[in-house]
This record gives sequence, C-alpha cells and structure tokens, in this order.
Amino acid sequence: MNDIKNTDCLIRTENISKFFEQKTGLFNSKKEIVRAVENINIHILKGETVGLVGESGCGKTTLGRTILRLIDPTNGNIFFDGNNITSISGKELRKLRRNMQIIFQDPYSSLNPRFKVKHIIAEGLYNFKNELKLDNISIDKIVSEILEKTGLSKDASTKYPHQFSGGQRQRIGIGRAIALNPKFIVCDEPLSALDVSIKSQILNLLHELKKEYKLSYLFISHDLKITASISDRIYIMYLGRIIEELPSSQLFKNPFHPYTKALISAVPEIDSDKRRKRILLEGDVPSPVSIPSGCPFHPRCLKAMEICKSKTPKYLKKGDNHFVACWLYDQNSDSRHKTQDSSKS
Amino acid sequence: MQKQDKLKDNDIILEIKDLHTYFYNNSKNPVKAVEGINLTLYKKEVLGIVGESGCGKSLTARSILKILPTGAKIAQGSIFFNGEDILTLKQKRLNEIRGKMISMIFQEPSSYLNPVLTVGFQVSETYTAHFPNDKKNALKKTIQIFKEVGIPDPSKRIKNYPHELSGGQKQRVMTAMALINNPDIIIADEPTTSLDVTVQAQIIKLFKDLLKNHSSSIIFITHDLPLVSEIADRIMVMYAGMNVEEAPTKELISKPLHPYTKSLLESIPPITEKWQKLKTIEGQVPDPSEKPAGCPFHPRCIYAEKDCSTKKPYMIEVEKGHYTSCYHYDKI
Amino acid sequence: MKSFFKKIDVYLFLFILISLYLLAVFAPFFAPYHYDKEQRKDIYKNPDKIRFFDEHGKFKIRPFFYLQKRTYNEIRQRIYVEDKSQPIQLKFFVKGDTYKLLGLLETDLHLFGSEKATVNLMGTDSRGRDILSRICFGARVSLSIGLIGAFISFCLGITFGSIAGYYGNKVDFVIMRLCEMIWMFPMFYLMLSLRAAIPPEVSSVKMYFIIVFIMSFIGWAGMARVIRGMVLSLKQQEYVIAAKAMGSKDAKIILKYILPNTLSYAIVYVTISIPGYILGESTLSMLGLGIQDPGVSWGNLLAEAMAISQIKLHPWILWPGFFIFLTVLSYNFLGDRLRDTADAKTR
Repeated sequence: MNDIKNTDCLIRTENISKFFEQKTGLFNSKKEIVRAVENINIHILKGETVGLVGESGCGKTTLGRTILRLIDPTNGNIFFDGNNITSISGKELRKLRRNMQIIFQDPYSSLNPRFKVKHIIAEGLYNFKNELKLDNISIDKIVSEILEKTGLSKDASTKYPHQFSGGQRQRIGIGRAIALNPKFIVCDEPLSALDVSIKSQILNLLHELKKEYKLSYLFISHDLKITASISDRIYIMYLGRIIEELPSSQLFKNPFHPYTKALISAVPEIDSDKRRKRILLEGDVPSPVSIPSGCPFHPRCLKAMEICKSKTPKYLKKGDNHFVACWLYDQNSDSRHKTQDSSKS
Repeated sequence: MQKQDKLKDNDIILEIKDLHTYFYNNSKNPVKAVEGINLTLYKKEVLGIVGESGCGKSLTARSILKILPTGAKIAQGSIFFNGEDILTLKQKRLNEIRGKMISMIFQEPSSYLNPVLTVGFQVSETYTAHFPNDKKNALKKTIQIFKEVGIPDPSKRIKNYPHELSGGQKQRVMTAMALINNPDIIIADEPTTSLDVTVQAQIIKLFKDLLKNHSSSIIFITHDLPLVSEIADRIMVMYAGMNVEEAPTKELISKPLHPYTKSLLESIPPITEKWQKLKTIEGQVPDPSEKPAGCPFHPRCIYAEKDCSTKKPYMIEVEKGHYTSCYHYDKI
Repeated sequence: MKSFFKKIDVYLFLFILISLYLLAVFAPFFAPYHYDKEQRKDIYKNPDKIRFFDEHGKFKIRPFFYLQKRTYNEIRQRIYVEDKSQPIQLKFFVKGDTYKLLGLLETDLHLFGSEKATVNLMGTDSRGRDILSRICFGARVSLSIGLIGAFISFCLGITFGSIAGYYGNKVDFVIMRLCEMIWMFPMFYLMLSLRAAIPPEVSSVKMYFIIVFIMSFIGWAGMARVIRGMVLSLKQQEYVIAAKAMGSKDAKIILKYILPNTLSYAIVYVTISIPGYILGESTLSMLGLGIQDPGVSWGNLLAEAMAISQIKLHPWILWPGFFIFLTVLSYNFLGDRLRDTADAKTR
C-alpha cells in the first residue's frame, strides 16, 4: 500500500485490533478473548466508496464503529485526514464527530422513539450550535432542506418515527447522518432490514447524496451484488481479518481467495444461464473466540494445504488495487513445494 | 423441472380457495392481511411464494395448519388437503395432519427449538407423537434423518442442546423435524433468511437433495426472488394480501405479466463495471390496515390507469398456467 | 394509554384509590370526631347500625340508629344493647369540633353526625375513640408514606441505576455491590435494626420521616437494579450510539435518550412497590416501632388487634386492616395493568 499517498487518504488504519473480554462459567472463572478485529489495514480515499463484505460475526460492524471511535481499539492507529485520532478525547473527539457519521442497519432501533423527526435530524446541529454559529431559524431551514433531499415530505418534521414505514425511517436516519455535512459516513448494512422494493430506492439515494456532498462511504454489507454496485473498491473480511481487497469491477470477474469465490458462487442468480457452479463450504463460520491457527479459513477451505494450518498467509499485491492473503498465491513461499495439495475439488 | 405439462387435476394435493385471514385486534374494522388467496399445490412440486414483509405470505402458510398468531382468524374460504377441508376438521384430525402430513420449517430455528431439551429428543418426539407405539424405532429414525439432512456425527449430535449448535445446524435440525414423518407437504417459511450466504447455499442444496429422495411437496416462502427461482417449479407473487401473479418459474422470470413482478425483477442490482442508477418501485409498501382501493399496487404502478383505482382485480389466466391480476398486462 | 382505560375494572380501582386519598386529605371533614377524642364511657362500643326501617317495618327517609345502652352480662362483661325506644337520626353536614380545612379554612362542618348522641359507625376502641375517625386521620400517614417513600426510592434508584448502567466497570461494581449488601439482609430485620439505631422517643412528625427514610434506604436498591438493567440494554440501542456519534454529551444522552425510555417501566415498578411501603409502615407501627400514640396510622390502629381474644370479642377493631387490604389490592391491580400497557407498547 506504499503507492498511496497519505494526503489522498481520508481514513487509514494501521494494524488496528479490537479484542473483547468475555467471562463465562458459573463463577465468571473462565476468561475468553473474542478477537473481533485483528491487525486490519484499510484505507479510504477522499470521495471513494469502499465496500466491506463478510458474513455475520466477522467483525465488520466492530471495525466500522472502531474507525468512528465509537469503540476504542485495543491496538493500532486510526488516521483521519492525516491526523492520528486513535487517542484523542474530549473536545477534540467531539469536533471530529462533525466529520464522521454512521447510518445503521435497523431503521426501527436507530431512531429515538420519543423524539420528533425534526429533533432527530437536528440533534447534531444542536450539539454544535455554537461552533457552527447556528440559531433556531437556520436549524429549521437546514432540517427542511435535508427532508427534501432525502425524499421526505415537509410535514414529516413534526411526526414521530413510529408513524413512518421502514424505508422512510431509513431516510430519516440518512438525513441525520448528513445534517452536519460530514466528510465520511459508515453505512452499516443500511439496506438489509428493508423490503426488496425499497432497497434500490435507498441505494440510489445514498449514491446521489454522495455526489452532492462529496462524501466517502464505508459500505458494510453481506450482500455482494449491492456492495459491488455502489462501491469503488471492496474489502472481503473473514473472522476479523481482511483476506482480499479488489476493485469492485473485479469482484465477480476475477476473485482470488477461495472464500471470495465461495461467497460469489453462493449468490442466488435469477437467470439460470448465468448461474455459477456452487462452491459449497462446509460448516459455519467459527466463533471469534477460537480462531483457527494459520489461515483462519483453512478448516472450511476446499484448497487447504498443510502450510495453511500453521502459518498465516501474507497480504500480497496481485494486481491493480488487488491484494489477497492466501498461500495459493504466494509464489515466493518455498514451503509451498513441501506441502502436498490436498485440494478436494 | 419441467413437469408443468404433466400436471393434472388428480395430482392436486392442496387447494386453497378464496382464503381470507383477518386480524381482529382492537378496532372494529379487521385488518385484512390475507384477502382472497387461491392456491393449488401439486404432488412432488415446489411452489415458491414471494412477497415483501406484511404481504401476508406467512399468514397464508400458517392458515394451512391453523396455527395463527393471536388476533388472527380465518374469515372465509376453504383449504382442501387431499379432499378434506382443513378448516372444518375436528381438532383430533387436525393434530393428526399437523406434523405428520403437513409440517413446517420456520425462519428462526432458535426460537422454535426448546432450549431445555436435546435436539434428538425434540426430533424423535415429533415421530412418537404420531407413532406412539413405535418408541423403539424413534431413536434409530432420528439418527437416520439427522444423517440425511447432513448433520455430521448424528449419534453424538442428538444429545446436544440447541444452544450448542450453530445457526445452520439448527436449521438442519428443524428440517429433520419436518421430514421425519415423511409428510406430504413441507411448508418452509423463510428457512434461510436468518442464515449467512454460504450457509444459505448449503440449505438450498439440502432441499434440492431431499427432493430427490422424498415425495413431499414444498411450499417455499421467501422475499428473495432470485433465491426461490433456483428451487421452485412454480412461483406465486403476493402483494398486500393478494396474489398478483402465478406462473412456472422460467416463464415468470422471462415474461412477467404483472408490473409488480416486473419491477421486482428489475430492482435486482445488475453486475456492472460502473455505477448504474437502479430501477426502483416508488412509494412504500402499503400498511395492511390502509390498503388502497382497487388494485393495491396502483399507487406505485407506472402502468396504472383510471380504472385501476376502482376496479378490484382478479386472476386471469393469460397462458396455460400463467395467471396475472393485472387488467393491463398487455402493456407490459 | 387507550387500552389502559378501556378496562372498566381499572376505573373501579382508580376510583377506590382516589376516594381513599380524598378521605385522607379531608379527614377532619369525613371524620365525625377528632381522632384523639375519647368517649370514656363507651369503651369497645359496637358499631352503630344504620337503619331505614323502624321496628314496625315502616320506611323512614332519614337514616337513623338506636342508642346503645351499656349493661353487663352474667360474667360481668360490658355489653351494648340497642335501645329500640330511642331512635336517633343521622344528620348530614352537622356542626361539630372546629378544625382548619386544608390548614387554612376554619370550619366546624362534618359530613355526618348527630347532636343527640355520638355516632360510631365502626365502633370504638379500648379507650372509647371512634375507629372511623381514626381511620380517616390514619390514612394521612399510611397513604402518603407509600407515595413519598416510593418517590424517594425512585429518585435514588434512577440516579444510581442509570449511572451504574451507563458508565459500567468500577462505578457499576461499587453501586451494585452496595445494592446487594442492602438486599442481603432480610428486609424486616434491616428495618428493625435501622429503627433501633434511632432514639425511641421522638415526635410523630419526626418518626414519620424516619420511617420514610428507613424504607427508601432499603427500597432504592431494587429500583436501581431494574434501571441499571434497562440502561445496559438501552445503551446498546443504535439510536444511543447515533447520539454519541452526533457528538452529544454524556449527560444529554442519559437524560434525553436513555432515561425517558426507562420511564414507563420505572413508573410501573414504582406503582407496584407502593404497597410494600404501606405494609412496611403498618408492620413497624403495629409492632410499636413506628407511629405511636397519640399519632395515628393504620398500622398503629391494628396494634390494638394483636390479641386474638380482643378480635374475638370486638371484631370491628380489624377495620383498619380492611383499608390496608383495599389500598394494597388497588395499587397492585393498577400496577399490573400499567405493566401490561407498557409491555404492549414496547412490543
């Protein structure tokens, strides 16, 4: 990643990890460490939409919230616009909040049921009233502007969230996120709780807003097609690690990692001619408490080799913006010749 | 999967006629969640029911077994299973049918499995409930069915409690439970929605394999049109408590005759190099308590004409086996 | 709230509670006599029976009762016999002792009474005091103690509970262990020992506050635990995280995002806990550790009914118990209904 200039990066993470401690057993005697996110290096350029794809429990939500400093990382550094924001607090952190926002998955639990829509959208504006030199009239003006931009009617501002349908609520959530005019928004599965016919509306809206506000997105999702359609670049995550990074145009054409391939093959396809051969993985995603040694994917991998069980693969460049962490693509590895290919396919 | 031409009337196993299921919660006006559903299920067939949340697809399925949520009641209609009208049956006969001849797989396996009983016990109980004199064989049968649904090491797994299994395994246990009595009909209500993509693919594969060895018919309920198109022989599309289109899978996908189906198909994001604005269906899914008059889809329909807002549509057979409830299907 | 008021039985219990509180507030008006007025000669007098028909079965529009004559039976026990020759009319809005209504208006008007004889609708006690009057005045202590005690517990519980839940870690540990320490002791034992730590001879007013203090001290722990649990789950809610992302300060998040959402449940909890305070006061007072003569509370009144022999001879001294029963029942019922409503809302 040396070819990317620091100045172009809006967000850059340096080996961030987040471990949770979990006490189990009758007397809280057993301590388990949940390695939700481990040694992650990602970057998001200015004006770029980056997709983050993975199955549930792979740590993508944790990563998104860690970048926003809603969760404190255990290790590593986060840079925003070139500044290290890993350990800032108090006033500085509050100031940062203006530039970074989040859109949530569940349009029902993400809006305070006791606030009117106007209040929900304006919450951030009230918080930074003095810094932004706003008065109540200008806040009202911004709110009605946002309602219009997000496709809500003007009288929505005096209603309560429960008076809206899921899609409209998600629009309110988006309105809240753009109210402070941020530079960066984490979209944490913004579509997965919505109805099929509503999803495309919201996706179009997100894209329009991106252009208008010159936003950068981190688009977290488990839906490969939707992610590919909105993102410029995609990270594939498995058990708290990034295993592949590729331009979204390459996702369906030229994936490298066996996990990425399996994910893509699992996408249901309506056109029977376009249906890919299913690569069926065995079992479920292991728990992040006991991450397998070596490559975390090896117990489910159909092409696992001896080395995969013991050594963690390196993250190697394999093309334009295309990186993969898999021993299959590590030509320099001399140990490769020693192991027999136990591929089952 | 092209069995369509073979379908004859004496192959019908389940027939729903003009089913109305309403919620009588607190107001005087019932919420018409299911309004006039007609459905035919043939032997050894997979019927997909597709619709968005609140369209009444789950309620239709639950009406078949009369396991309705509180407040819901079947107001009108008949459900014929092998010639018997389920809605007029006595409780005793209904219990015989439930679980033995018609079984159900639910969306959230974790909330339908009892957490304090082993999964093996729960599955074998489904068997002994209908064959109380065959307790000896129950365990053997359970292990066998576990093997069939692809649970590794079944003799050990039957001693596990639900929380010791992963989501995918639990769904397999539910499938085993539905399958153990070799029922005539399996109703799968969004069986893969709570699962991850890779696990979802496993379950779909499992269903396909089961179809080869069992003679059951399957009603597969989902909101995911691409998913159901992989497994279903015929698809019925529901919107706001009514069926809007019904056709063999291939025909429905290649030649949709209802604007709703068409826009559903179009709103699937295509695989493209660059961002393309997606086609959308404007507006919101109507609240079941405030359905628009006439065709329920007309406020969101681009083909809507004047009469759409007044005339209530009914299913028209356009081609053999292809029904639509749109008056203006020729414009699509 | 619609479904709450739909149930007609809710109105009934609400009506009972409101009547009881009115009884307490306007005690001197409803009570025919002052609670401490002794009728030295009429000890354990039977309740006067209100009649509408005289001995010939003739209907009278004005209710009346017969004067009770004191005599002694063969084993020289005092008994009261109705003197059928002396009917006495019960009059409404009669003049009696003067008092200050609501502490302001000086008046001598009472709801009912009679100029000719004393009326004791619920009989008299061992010192010849009118039990009905004493119940009216006792309601003031018994009913208010529940409200004030629950309110103080509510404030303490919601403060400590939300702080423990929101900040977690050490703060949570300290507060929760404190709660458990309070919970660890049997409540009654704790009440007694706290009472023992306070000088036995204090004025009624002081005693009142001491009892409130004792019971709130014990009661807040339960409340704090409930609130803490709710805050723990609420702070995971996405709209709370959103507020944090929006740069809102902690105090604002707690006060505007978290507490209002616990409120409906907290109010239910408080309503259900009020009977506990009323019963607690009654227990203390009945044992002679709470409100003491000449002060009156329902518990204090029941102290007379401690001996079974007395209850057998004069069952009317159990009337205060009935009022406690009625209050506790109504509160429990209302609390249950409130909880159902709150649950339905969150579902």
